[in-house]
Amino acid sequence: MKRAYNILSSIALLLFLVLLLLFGVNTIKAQELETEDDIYSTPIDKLLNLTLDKASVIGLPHPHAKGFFHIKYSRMIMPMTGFQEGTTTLSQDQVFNHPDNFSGYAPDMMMDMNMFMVMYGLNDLMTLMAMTNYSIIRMDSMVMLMGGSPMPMPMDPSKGIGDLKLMLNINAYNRDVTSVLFNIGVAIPTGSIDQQVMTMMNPRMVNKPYPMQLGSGTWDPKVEVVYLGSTMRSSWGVGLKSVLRMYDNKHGYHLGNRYQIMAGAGHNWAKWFATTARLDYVTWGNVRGKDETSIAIQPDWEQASPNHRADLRAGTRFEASAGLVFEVPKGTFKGVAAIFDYRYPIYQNLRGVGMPIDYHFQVALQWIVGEKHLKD
Amino acid sequence: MKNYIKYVLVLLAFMVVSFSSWGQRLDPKYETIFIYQITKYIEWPADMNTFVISVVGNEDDPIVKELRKMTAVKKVMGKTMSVKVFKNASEVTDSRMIFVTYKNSASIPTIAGKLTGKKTILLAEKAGMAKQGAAINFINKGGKMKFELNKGTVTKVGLKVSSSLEKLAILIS
Repeated sequence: MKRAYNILSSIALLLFLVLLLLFGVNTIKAQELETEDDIYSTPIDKLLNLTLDKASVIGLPHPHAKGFFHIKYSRMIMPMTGFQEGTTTLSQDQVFNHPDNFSGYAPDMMMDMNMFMVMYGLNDLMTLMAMTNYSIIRMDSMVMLMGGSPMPMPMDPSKGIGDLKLMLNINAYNRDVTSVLFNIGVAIPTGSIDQQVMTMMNPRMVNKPYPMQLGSGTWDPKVEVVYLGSTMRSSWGVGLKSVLRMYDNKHGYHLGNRYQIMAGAGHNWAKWFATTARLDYVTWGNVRGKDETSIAIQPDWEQASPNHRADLRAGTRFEASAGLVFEVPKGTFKGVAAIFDYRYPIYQNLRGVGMPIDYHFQVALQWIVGEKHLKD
Repeated sequence: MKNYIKYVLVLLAFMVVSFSSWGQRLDPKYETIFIYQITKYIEWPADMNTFVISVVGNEDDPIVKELRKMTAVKKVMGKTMSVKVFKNASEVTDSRMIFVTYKNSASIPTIAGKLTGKKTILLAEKAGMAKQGAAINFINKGGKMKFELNKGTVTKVGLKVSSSLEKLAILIS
């Protein structure tokens, strides 16, 4: 928890400093321009190209008009603590004395992701999106060898880029302020599935458990349908998202399919400040097949930690999130925003013994480039 | 699960608050500039005294504030401008332009029916209203503001718009 707090406070401070700097520079520049302009003289042909302000919901896919770039860097941490079976929390003793004879336990795990996203409006109906990440996954492990006392098992963090996601957002229906988007794309397996650890007995390198791998190892189709409404002050939307895993990767397994239902709303309280809220229902399946190079199926590791079990990966979560958006309200840097989003799992049901998520916290800096506004 | 229902209810209440202010679909400042610019493309009667813009809505509607700011500094054909606000469409008096706010869009066919030959432009801000009788209708298209022009309605009220304005508009028949 201390590690999570340190990461959070440092990145939050950094983002605030960047935003304050941009806001300061921007305000001075905007004040210089205001005195020169008579906005009522703006000709109609110029007015027709101005961008209307609109609210958005953090996490819900959205379209951009032709020529717009949306660039976003975000950092997300997701700590996990202990284990639970179904909806019941298990202690370390309960895991080691479980009928499945587990010999490993993970007191905590931390996913620390740096995400980079670029969106570009091909035209007013289609937007391209590319997203990748650099992740650091840490897991503290305990093992119980030969019926002795539990002892720490050192495991280096997994570090590297994750899978690259490419999406095409198609604005299929647009009337007044509502629209329906069909998003199709693919997750390209650029993330490593060869993250390894040295075994303690009969030392040799074997693959780390499934949650410690950085990618899926397969080309995964992604399909989304989103209904959005957005005015200048408010936005709302619902979406269905799916990631489909169609075939086994080179290690002889594939991750389970993932389905997500989202509903959210956002409100701009001022030109520089907005809040958003979202509810997510997520369900995902077990790993199909087995990692043949995993620690779990080595001869001296017949029953390892639950994290090594392909048949204990599935689960369902119901999450609520709240977010804050601070945006530079005018001038050259209008469109730059700092985003803070906290997501809490209000219900988690893991099929078998697995690690529940404590929370997600994301801070982001984004810039929407290409918008035209009056010097207001 | 039951313990968390209260959190869900708080979130849903937040969403309801958000949804309650859907109304502002367009930027009232942009609409005001559009309105002023459009006055330049219309042949107004030479005998008018003050250029009156009536708003069917409420005094605290953002468009009213913006129109008042604009009419304080601008003129049309050398005539001063003024803004009047009417809660009910039936109360609207003689005006050169009538702006009907989004929430009052249902009254557009009724108002349009009374404007034949009155040399008054009826303005709206809801999709589909140009077909319902508005002469000019502001809409949000792909995050940008556009306007529909119903040339037949303009002719019906006894006015004429410049062909330059027609080229910039989405024409509705």
